[in-house]
Amino acid sequence: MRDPYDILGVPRGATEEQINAAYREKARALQDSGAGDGQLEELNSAYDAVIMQRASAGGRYTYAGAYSGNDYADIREKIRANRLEDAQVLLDGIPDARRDAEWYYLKGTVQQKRGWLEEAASNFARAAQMDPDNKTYRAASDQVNQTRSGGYRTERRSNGDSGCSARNICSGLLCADCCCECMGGDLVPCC
Amino acid sequence: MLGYVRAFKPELKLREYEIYRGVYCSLCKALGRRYSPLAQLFLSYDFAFAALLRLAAADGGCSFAQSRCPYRPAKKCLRCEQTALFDACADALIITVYYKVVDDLRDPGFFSRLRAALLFSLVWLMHRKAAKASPEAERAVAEAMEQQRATEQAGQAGIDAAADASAQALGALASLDAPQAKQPALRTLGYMIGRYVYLLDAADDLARDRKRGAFNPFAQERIDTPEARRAFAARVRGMLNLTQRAALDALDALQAPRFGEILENIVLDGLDQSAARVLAAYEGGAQKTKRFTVE
Repeated sequence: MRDPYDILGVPRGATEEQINAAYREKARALQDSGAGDGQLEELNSAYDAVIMQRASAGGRYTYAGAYSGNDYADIREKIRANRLEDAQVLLDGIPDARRDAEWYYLKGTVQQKRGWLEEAASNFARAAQMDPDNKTYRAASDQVNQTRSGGYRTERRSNGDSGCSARNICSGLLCADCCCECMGGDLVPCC
Repeated sequence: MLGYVRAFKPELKLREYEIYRGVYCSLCKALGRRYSPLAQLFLSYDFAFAALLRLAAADGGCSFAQSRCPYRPAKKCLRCEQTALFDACADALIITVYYKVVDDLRDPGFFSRLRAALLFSLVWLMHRKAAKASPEAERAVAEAMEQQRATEQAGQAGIDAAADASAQALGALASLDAPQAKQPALRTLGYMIGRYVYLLDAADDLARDRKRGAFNPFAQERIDTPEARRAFAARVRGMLNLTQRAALDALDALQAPRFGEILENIVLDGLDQSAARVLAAYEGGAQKTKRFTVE
């Protein structure tokens, strides 16, 4: 693999802000020029490599979107591409003080995809509590509660019962009877 | 594994039940052939599910031949002819049993350690063969055990972290050797089943673990009054429901070309029955007779 600093086009001593700016600029340029996913992928992993290297060296870092308020486009993109570990690292890099409802929602999404359902549930609940007007957070939290009480079960069982249930036979008979009566006959004499 | 993952018979069609039995018998046969008749002692319905899952997702069809069981010669049973697949399942079973026994050797209780020591001498040689034949399964389970031990030593962990290791192991076992396109769904399904079994087993063993001072993810829960016990059962049921729903979603995503109904029966009704059996002890009025309602 090429040197991640070369890919980002910054010197090794670059500050965090320079790295973030370079990453944003390059990513935008690649997207505008319609470059293939391969190049974008390379840029992403170079950025991650640099960030992780610095994080493990002990310094705190802030991820690229964090300067214009919290804009989570990168993290969303990583979640969409199922790069959950990366998304988790970026999310955890955002300091406690800046964690808003969206942060909790995204954290919950990552955890839900990883199968950590209890923590996902509490993060969804927290997101919905912090921003009660947001429909997405509310829906995620409600769905968890509905699933907890077993709401999916009846729906699933009734789906399996299509075919010869008593109700289906009855309605079939009624229907056939109506048709017969239209033509002057009678299939079920009592109705 | 512990017999929690099994089909719920009253909801199975005869044809499905025959196939399910056939898979169980084929796995038993594979254990006898590949290891020894003693290995058949470790057979459980949980692994019949694992074998069925592999069969369901495998490329190509699945053929059965009628044969007889040496232990019950009067009864005919189906035997699956995809023997390579059952051999791999038998390896996974032996590897899992081995690590379970190794784990029990560290148990605080004297008698369970003694039992584990006896079993260890029995399963040790079998495990050597299995590890050589299925190195990937060996690695997955060994890593999971390592992770589990680290979590337990770290003390009080969250439910998710505690369940993660065994769930990961089952996810890895379920997706092993499967067609590429089916692997993500199989991994998730395995993960969720592993998680379900872990949580249910932890709830089942809570009182025993507490007495012996062993690790249990529910150790902080109060179960001293009837109300607290009922509240605990309700919380566990909520967690199990979340997990089961995720497993069902994975099963839908799998779009199994065959045996879909049996798998759904196991994941939905079978797990429900196991949960009811375990949680009845906390909800009061333990069910002595099995109940089944037709609407």
